[in-house]
Amino acid sequence: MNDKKHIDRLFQEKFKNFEATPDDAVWENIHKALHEDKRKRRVIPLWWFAAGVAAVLVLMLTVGNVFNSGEGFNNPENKVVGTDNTGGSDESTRTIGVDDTKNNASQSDPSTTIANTEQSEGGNFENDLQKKKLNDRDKTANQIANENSGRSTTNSSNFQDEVTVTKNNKSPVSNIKEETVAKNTPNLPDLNQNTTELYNEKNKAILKTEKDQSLIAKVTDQNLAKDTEAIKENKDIIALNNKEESIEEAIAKANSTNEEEKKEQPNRWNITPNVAPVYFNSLGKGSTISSQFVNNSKSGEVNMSYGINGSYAINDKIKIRAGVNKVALGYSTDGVIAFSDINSFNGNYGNKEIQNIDFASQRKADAYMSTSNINSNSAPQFMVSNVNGALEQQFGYIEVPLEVEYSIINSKFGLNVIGGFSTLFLNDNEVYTVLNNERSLLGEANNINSTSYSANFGLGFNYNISHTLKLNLEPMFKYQINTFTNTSGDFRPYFIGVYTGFSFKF
Amino acid sequence: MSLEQLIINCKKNDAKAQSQIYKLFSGKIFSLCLKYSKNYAEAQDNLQDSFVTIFKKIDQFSHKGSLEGWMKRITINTALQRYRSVGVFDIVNEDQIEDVAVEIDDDEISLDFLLGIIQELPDRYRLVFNLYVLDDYSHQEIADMLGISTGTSKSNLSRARMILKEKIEQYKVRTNSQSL
Repeated sequence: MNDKKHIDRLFQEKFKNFEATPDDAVWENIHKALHEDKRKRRVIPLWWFAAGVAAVLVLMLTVGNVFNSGEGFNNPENKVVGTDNTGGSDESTRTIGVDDTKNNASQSDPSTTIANTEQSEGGNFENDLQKKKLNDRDKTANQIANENSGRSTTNSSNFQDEVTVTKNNKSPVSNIKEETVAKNTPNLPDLNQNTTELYNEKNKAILKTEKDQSLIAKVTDQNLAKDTEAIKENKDIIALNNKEESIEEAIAKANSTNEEEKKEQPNRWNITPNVAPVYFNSLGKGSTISSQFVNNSKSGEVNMSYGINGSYAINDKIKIRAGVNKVALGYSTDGVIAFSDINSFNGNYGNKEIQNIDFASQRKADAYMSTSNINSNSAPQFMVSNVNGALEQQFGYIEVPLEVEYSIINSKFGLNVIGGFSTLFLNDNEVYTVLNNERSLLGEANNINSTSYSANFGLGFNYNISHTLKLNLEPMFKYQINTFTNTSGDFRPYFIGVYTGFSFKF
Repeated sequence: MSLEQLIINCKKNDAKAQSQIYKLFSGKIFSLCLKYSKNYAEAQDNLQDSFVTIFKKIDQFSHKGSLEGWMKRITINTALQRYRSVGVFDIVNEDQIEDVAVEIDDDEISLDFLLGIIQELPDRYRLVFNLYVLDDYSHQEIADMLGISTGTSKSNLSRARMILKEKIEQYKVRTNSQSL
């Protein structure tokens, strides 16, 4: 029985007819990979494009921001700290400091930590080198911020925060705040020695790069030596010194638990119901209805748009927003003659049909023509005298905007630049005739795409009524893309709206 | 429906035809995946990736060889791809071991056991053993596919055989002692 056999033969024979049954789930995955992504792709290619553009915009602005804060990172431009500082609460300041330190401890990668330690041991590194490292850290923090929306403010700005705090230490009050920040850090039980060291090293590094702030350096260093009891005093002093509006808030915060404090991040979400008069017109000379109307005079109509927007603040400069609006648009083509019965004249003057309109059934016999085709010398008298007709086109959309808001001024009054895209879903499409002030339904246009897009640009003005409530006024220009399939002349539609509304922060 | 017609329909990304092709060949292809992978999960991943590639590229299938052969080549490539990106082939010339034939007793050794010890082989040994012994590739072809020298291919094969032989012998000792 025991044939000696080459090992290759053994395996070859055994595996000759080897078949195995995989899990059914594998086929489902294959099927999905082959079919589902295609279906999706077909529906939303422009969404991808729009989202891509938005992402690039955000990225550019963010990178710009990082660069700014990296190059001159002593500019106290970070409003996150500012908001909480106006609270006048040493508690809230402390929370930020502690959070920063924690985040640094947990999220800075080990190599950076080592780099920092070496830096403090060596002590004699060039300023440039330190700056570089700090910038690197900053970038890492920002990357984390992009991925982690919940904590991103603290992360993306934690370094700047500290810089801001340090920079602010020119008045005695904020000096004390800084002390509090530094002193409370070692007192927290769940922070180990490393964290504290890291924090202090960082402080030192900042201070080294800015020699003229040596005064603050002393203060910070002394902090470590001081007693915990001093905190209590500081609290009192701050309470006395900051007689600003939200002192009650600060006390309330001080009484709440640590975890609740952590949740006291600046409000990132905004919801904005809005209403706008919108004016529709075309940039070029053309007609969506028929080639014979290209040269007719046309006038845009003012309609209404209303909807709701939600926005999310990525940082204090940039917001991404999306929403749903219902928008009605309309314009009229003047100088149209309508004949209620086609047999009443011989159609020598232009087309009797209008190629881009599907007529309502009872109007099939009607004929329309442009007055520009009529030579007043040769035309029958009834035509020349009756030229005050118009065709009125009305259409409405459900608009889904996706926009980025970049804040230029951010104080009581704010100024933003807005850019983005909208996807427009057609939900209303009618053409009316207006003759002698009588308006009647003619039919519907057959050349309006059911889905179209617009590129949006605008300015946003806002006024902060309270901490959570803002009044907005946003003139927007929306250039429509892919709206009509078959237009005559050069018809490039756009609409302008002045969007007003209140936005609520939460 | 004939295989020809199935292929034509697959080229149109027809889900039914794809499903039938999968039913016809998944057993064979999966066995191939099992041999080339470390474990069952990795084999399933390879199976999935392979079939996605197969269906996406089926319009490149030119009917010159058999569909099965073409599918197998894609599958082997997919399996190798996994290791190419990891870089297990990046090994400089090892000592050349003489190509010794290993003789073993052919007892009733289960397929599961043999598959298990193949999967346990270090990646580079497993791939070379599979390619050379079970899928009839030459050392030159293996060398080209894996980006190694033919010498390395040969020495890897010998080491693979040695390891497999040892494991089979150990297994026999164990089963013998149990039966005693």
